[in-house]
Amino acid sequence: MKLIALIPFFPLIGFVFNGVFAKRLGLSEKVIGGIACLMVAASFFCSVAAVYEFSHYAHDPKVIAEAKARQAELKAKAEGAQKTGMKAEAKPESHAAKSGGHDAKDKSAGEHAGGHEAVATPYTVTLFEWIPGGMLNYTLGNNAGRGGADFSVKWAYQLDQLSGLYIVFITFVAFFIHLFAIGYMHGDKSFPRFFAYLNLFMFMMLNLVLGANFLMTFVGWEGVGLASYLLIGYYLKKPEAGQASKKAFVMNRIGDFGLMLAMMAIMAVFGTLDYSEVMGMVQAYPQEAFGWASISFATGTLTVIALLIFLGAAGKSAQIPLYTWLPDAMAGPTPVSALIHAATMVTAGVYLVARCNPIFQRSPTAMFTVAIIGLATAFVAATIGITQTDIKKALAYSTVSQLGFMFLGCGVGAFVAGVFHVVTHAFFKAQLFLGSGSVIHGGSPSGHQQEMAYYGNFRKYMPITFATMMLSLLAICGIIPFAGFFSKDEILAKAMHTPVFGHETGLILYAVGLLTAGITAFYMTRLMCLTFFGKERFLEGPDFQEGHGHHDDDHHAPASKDFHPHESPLVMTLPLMVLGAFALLAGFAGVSEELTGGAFPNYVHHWLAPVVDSTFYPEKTVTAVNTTEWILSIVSVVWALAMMGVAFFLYAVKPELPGKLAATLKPLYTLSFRKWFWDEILDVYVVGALKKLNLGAWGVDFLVDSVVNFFAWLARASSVLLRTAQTGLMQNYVLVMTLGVFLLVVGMGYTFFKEIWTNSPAKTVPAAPATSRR
Amino acid sequence: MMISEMWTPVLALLQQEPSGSFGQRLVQSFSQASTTSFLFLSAILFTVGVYGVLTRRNMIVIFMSVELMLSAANLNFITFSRYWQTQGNEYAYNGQIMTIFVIVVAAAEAALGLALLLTLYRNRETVSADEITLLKW
Amino acid sequence: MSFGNVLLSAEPAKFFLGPIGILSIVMWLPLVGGLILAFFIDKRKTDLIRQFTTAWMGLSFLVSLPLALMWKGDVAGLQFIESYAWIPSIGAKYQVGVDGMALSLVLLTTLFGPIVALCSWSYIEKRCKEYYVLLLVMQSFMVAVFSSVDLFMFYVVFEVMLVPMYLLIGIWGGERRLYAAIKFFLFTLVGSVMMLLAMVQFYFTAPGVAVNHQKEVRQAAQVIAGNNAEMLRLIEDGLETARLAAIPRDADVIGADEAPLGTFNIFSLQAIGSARGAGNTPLIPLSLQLWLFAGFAIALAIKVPMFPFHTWLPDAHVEAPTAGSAILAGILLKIGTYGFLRFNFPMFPDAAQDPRVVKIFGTLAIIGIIYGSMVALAQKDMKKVIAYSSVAHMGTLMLSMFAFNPNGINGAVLQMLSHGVTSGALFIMIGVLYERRHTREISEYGGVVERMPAFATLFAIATMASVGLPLLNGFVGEFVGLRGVFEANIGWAFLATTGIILGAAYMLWLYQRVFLGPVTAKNAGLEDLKPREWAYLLPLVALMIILGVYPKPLVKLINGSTETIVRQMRPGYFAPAETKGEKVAETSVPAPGVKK
Repeated sequence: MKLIALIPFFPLIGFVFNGVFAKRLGLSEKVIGGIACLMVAASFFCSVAAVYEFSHYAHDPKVIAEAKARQAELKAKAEGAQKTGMKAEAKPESHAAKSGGHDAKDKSAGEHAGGHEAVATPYTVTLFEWIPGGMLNYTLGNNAGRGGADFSVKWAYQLDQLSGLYIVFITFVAFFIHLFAIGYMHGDKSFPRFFAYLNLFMFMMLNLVLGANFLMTFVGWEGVGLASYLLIGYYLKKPEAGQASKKAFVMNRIGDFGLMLAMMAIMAVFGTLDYSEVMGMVQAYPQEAFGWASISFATGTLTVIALLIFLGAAGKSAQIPLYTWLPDAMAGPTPVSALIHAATMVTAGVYLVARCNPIFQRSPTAMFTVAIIGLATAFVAATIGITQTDIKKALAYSTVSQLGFMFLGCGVGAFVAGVFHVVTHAFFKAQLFLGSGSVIHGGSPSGHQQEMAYYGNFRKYMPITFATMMLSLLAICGIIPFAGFFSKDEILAKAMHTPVFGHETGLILYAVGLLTAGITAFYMTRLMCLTFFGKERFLEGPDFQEGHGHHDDDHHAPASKDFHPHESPLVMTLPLMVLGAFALLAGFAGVSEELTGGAFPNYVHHWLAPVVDSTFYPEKTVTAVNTTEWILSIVSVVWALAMMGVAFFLYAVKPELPGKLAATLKPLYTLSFRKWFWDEILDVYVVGALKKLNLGAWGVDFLVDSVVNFFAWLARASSVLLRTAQTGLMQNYVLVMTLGVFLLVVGMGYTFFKEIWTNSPAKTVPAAPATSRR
Repeated sequence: MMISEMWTPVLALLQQEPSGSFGQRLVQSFSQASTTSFLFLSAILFTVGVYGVLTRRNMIVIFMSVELMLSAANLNFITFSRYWQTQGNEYAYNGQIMTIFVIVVAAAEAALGLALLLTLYRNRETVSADEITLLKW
Repeated sequence: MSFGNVLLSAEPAKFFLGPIGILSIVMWLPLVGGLILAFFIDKRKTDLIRQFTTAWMGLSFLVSLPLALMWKGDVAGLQFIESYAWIPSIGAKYQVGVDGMALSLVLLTTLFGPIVALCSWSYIEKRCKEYYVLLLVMQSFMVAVFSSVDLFMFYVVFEVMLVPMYLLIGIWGGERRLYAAIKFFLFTLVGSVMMLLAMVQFYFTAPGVAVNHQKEVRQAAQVIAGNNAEMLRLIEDGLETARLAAIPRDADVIGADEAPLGTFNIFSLQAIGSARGAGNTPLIPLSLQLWLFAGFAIALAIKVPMFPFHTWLPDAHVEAPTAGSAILAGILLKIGTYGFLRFNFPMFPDAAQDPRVVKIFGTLAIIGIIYGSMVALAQKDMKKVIAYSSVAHMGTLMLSMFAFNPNGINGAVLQMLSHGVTSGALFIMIGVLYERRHTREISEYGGVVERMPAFATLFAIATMASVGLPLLNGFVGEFVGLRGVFEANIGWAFLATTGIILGAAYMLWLYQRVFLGPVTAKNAGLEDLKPREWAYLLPLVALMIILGVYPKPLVKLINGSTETIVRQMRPGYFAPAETKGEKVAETSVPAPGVKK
């Protein structure tokens, strides 16, 4: 298992090699791409080996006993000094404030010490102490006022069920995307740079999920942000790429702002950033009250921490209000969109929320925020997706929407379902992006055409792409038995029966979620229809027009009209097929036991159970088939099929209808097409205001300088006055001097004579000159 | 110290019965004169010098006035030297040494000053202090 | 304060060549080089001058390395102490020595030496000899500032240093160089006059305290010296001088009539200033402390520069030649913050922790962070962007310091070093562009990455370091420091952390406008880095990565100094958790801003 320390470093080797030497050695594309793929493959095999070993380690009774002892120890440490009086008051309050109908929760809170079976058994490898920072005092939480903690952050990797799951699917998906990229980026001028960046991304992403403490995760967190920045801006000459990359980075930074503060607060409460210690110590804290009042360090420390973490997660995972960077990020090459902006990086937010689930579970306020934001994002992004004409942007909004689903899952307490959806989504969305990459690659002479208006009937030309994308389409729409069905349906089902909020809230969450799922089915089918069905429109593309405005200098002459879209080479279609297969099969790893009555085990659920804190929302063991679940599933499948049918009818059978429909529903259409005006609002009110403020702020400098210059002026003015005394007439000077001497003499004389007059005359006799100094 | 005392040498010269040459009588009268008279004379000389420096325009005259002031200082030195001699101070000669020193310096200064004046005249065609105002802002 | 007597006594590292210690050699070697250059090398041989200066600076750097190699990690306080009489009548001595914090800054200075010499090779065309003489002279004074243990010596060097910098800006600067040079000079001078006043007042106040409260002062001295026996002797020596000074001249005490007027030993003065009487009351009354604090603080805040005093900085940076900007950003600004940690905090701990003072400095620092970042966003000149970013970074730094806890101060010192490296590197990189295009207008550039890919990569690393990306140097200090701020005052931490968003915004905006986008015709002829440029950029970039990935040795180096400062200011901070009673906890837990 010590292998986990190696996993992130394979891609780092690839990064350094491809970034520094590849160009100088003049290596061929195959070698460069091969090295990059090899490194990811090495990471993948190491991950599989480590996870396999870990699966035994985690069931070792000795390890479990140790882990339990450690948890108890940490909990005792976090119970704090004899300040429990204060906490004891807070406890009943928090329960009283909860909405009714949660009596079961109280019971479970009481009996949790007796304990859940599953205990987290993280396996940690420490490489070296990274940042020591000196002593610190606890300032928040139970231990507030105590000293003696040490700011010490280790460079350490931690393997547990969650990170294990992540590293395996990340390296797996990434390997195929790397493979795809060899074909997609063929002929690009800075081929080595691209693969160097991809490997850099992999290094950072693995750091993110394997990091044993918040700061290590933050390293990866910012690192993937950097890689994303570099890859979005990969087409250096495209101004919108530079713009988008900057936007992505800055928006992510807003999230990082929250995450950084969360880390500081965690340090103030727990005195450490290690996941294993923090998650152990947090057990000593009760659940906090629900409501606005707990959003303050005084009354709801964990709520604030959770919300700050979620701000970070919202930045990275493109949730409202920080989601606009993700569609813009499509300016990067398509494999990047598949890898970073669909399968891996953007799900880091979900990872972090799942990782911190003990903290979130102690704050219903934060859970509610996560659920609502997730659902709102899912809905808004799905509605925007309907009207997108750029294939990648449509997919991007779909990603944002799906991420919203994952957060909804986390928010309603179904962390496992959220993470499971991350995994299935990674397969089918990566496949969809790669498929779109294949379409873009072969759909126009320049290989850069992303407008669906210039596609149509491609199924004739790209059968493999079409077939594999159909699998993913069915997956994302949630058709049984494709992967998306199991994960999405579980989220919706858990939303309905959420233990966190009341039943009515759950019902609303479910209803909106179901509606969104339908919209998803609609716009994804629309995308497929526009691309693969209908009239062939590729000859209308700007590549065939005179003097088209493409950025590449090489393609200025209009392309010849005998162009035909073509299927991509095997290096590109192979990943499509593999990922498509997983889009079909991956769902069976997490079939809800409510559907099967426990006959078919929910592997994902069992695997992840130890990392999910069951103190407040214990898992019920399922013994029988739940008919409600079946009804819900059938409803959602039928609903999705219906929406797909509508979309097929509108876009493939009667392609003239959507235009008319848009005209009738003008306001709704505009709202969707203009992306709910959020971009504009940000631009005008935030960026615009900032710009004005900048210029205004500069005025302060002027003010300060004015004060300084006033003194300079004062000096100059006084010199103008005083210099008139300098006449240059020597005799004037002498006169003044004489007068001065005169005054001096008079003054001295006055004092001298005063002494004579007031004292006896004897004193006036001058003493003999000093002669003794020899 | 009466103001009248300063006239003592003069009065002595006038009032005494003539015995010996005028020169002998002069020396005699000075040797009898009090310290105060010499100091007073020195003060007059100095004041005349200061007045000259302040009022005259011609640099040469100013220069001569400065010399007058120096002479006044010398006279002071000599006077006190004589005074301390009568008091029996073994270092009384210091005043005379100082006088000679001042005379030497004054000679050098005169040479330098006149040379400066000459140069000034050559350049500016004037030795009037009013017109030489380069030392101004 | 029980740790004073439980520590074992140890001798610090030292190395002498005859009477001259290694620190003196490091300090004055550049000056000797300057003299050799001035008197023995013909001014027309410009190539020789350049090579000589660079080699000599390199030599000085190599000579300074043994300081780090011979460093004894387990000894607190000053090492490489040298002490000689200088002006006996006032008690000023030639006393030098470095503690961990000073050593790191000395090494930064000596590292910058060859780099700034090398980066001026083609930049400086007129008066080559004078320029390099000034660089060498400057170098000596900068090392001296960080290693002087005598307040008088510090002040002299602090002042004298202005002259070479003034000339560097005033002679080799840009269009408005005279304005900038005079502004720089006057701002700093005004401040240092205040410092002189405070210094003299403290100098005359200290002996009285030293003689009346011998026990308390000795205790404070033990806190400062820790286990360092030689440093303790040094402090005791200074205290003895101060005691003698307080005795009337004609008193029948041996040595009283020849004793100096007081002591200038910084650490003796620290002991006097930080000593507490019964009931934790300061020996120097708070009202006086506040005045003295203000005197020092104004001088140092101008040097830092803190928010309302910062206006000299952009002008000086923009007008100064590349090397001047690099030195200014890399070293000179650090003198201000170093001074706060060396003088203001330990000498006047109660004034520093006075709620009013804390509130003022905290507010100004936060304004500095936000304001500096905002103004940086509105600049048209590359150097101005970096200059205003310095204002913002310095705001974070000051805020970290005013957290008064080990995290905050460690973070502040780390930020000093990393900001020195990063912004110095950025200025030098802008110089690289300037040498090619002779303009610093952002709008003149665009698409540079196409022509200078290697340079763009290095610039990107520096940009990211400035933004505070983990694994690069900027992040470590920023996070540790802000965590300290969080401990002191959560509200401050929230406001200060917005700096990381704005920082990303203006640095990436700069990078995008200069490097990305289509290549404009004007930039089509740009050449990538030459070997000489590699030679001076690579060490800086490497340092950024090294300090970001493995900052531990550095933190270990400075942690001792930091803890001493915190001990002097907040005696209860390090008490073990169990014994820490409510009384002590009360002084250390709440935010300084709301304390008392």
